[in-house]
Amino acid sequence: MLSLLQKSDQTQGPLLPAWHPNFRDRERLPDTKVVRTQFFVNFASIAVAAGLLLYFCYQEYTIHNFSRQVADWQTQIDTNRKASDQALELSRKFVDEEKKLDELDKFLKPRLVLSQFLLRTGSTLPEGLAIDAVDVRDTGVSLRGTASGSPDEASGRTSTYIEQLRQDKYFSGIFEDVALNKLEREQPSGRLTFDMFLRFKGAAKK
Amino acid sequence: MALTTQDLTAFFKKHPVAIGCGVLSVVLLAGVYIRSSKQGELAAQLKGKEVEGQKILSNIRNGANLAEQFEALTASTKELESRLVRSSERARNQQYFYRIESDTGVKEVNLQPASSNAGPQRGPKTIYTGVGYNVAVVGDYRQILDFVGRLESGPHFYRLISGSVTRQGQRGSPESTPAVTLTLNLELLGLP
Repeated sequence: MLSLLQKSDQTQGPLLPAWHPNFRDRERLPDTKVVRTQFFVNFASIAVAAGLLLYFCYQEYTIHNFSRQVADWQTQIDTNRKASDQALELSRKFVDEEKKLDELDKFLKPRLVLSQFLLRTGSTLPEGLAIDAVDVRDTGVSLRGTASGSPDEASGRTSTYIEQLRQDKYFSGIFEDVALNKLEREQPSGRLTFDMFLRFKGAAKK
Repeated sequence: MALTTQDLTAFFKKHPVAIGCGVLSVVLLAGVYIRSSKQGELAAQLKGKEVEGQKILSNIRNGANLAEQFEALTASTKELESRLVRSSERARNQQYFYRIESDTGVKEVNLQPASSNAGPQRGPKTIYTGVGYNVAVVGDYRQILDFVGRLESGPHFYRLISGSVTRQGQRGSPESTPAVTLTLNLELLGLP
């Protein structure tokens, strides 16, 4: 240890002029450091090279792995493609057939079943009122008829009937509104005639 | 100070491990650089194959019972098509109304194919078409109801476009069952 310290002092060179010539050749003197510089250089270069080698190997492993997976998927795709194409073809045919049923469904979506409407109108018509004409249109149904009795009674019957139509479960399910368009005395009979309009749900107002 | 071959040889001899490792590092770096593009390419390819494979598998999975369902659907549409009219078969179509007329006892006043003045149809092309008719019949209330009921539940698919039911004659007349006129603008579902 002492010699090391001495060596260190010597390598730094004399601070004071030597009292005799120094013939030592520093280049040829052995490196007496505990851990040589060469060791650090070699260690660092080996470490870098080893790290790069590991990374390269890992990359190659990944590439190999990807290639294998691509090949596996390709095999699976090739095996299943025929069945898939058949399923797709069948699905296309199914959609075409389904369109036919959709069209039928659209066609058979009436707003009004006329027979039901006539039966219901007949069964709910109050005494003293008679329907003369039923007109089915795009927007609704027009009911024309007569109300018997004195004008006061007849108009009362008509307004009660309108209220009854509005409250009725069947009519309120189909129609949005019931409106009285006309109520006038018919000459020469003197009977009161009415014209009411039952507007379909969702139909535009006149 | 010029660098001679002797100096280089001496340098190589002095640091053989470091120089060897340096050369190896350079070669490996080049390898990593070149192969990295291949890795990216394969990763993208794998992703594509995965998506394609999953799609194919799901097609097979979803089509498991499709054949039976398709068979049932085809049977339904065949039954549907047997109930369609053909717009070209006018006599046969009118025969349908005459048959109902004779079954119900109503008297036909008018039976005409409805003229289509709607022009070319807008929207998506349809498979079926509505074959329009204007029908006017006279009968008593029960007969008219029967006629309408038979149209609604008959073998052909029917749709009411517009219509009117009008009572004939004067109220309070001696006739026990007043005549009722039914006028219908209707469509039967058919093939063009």
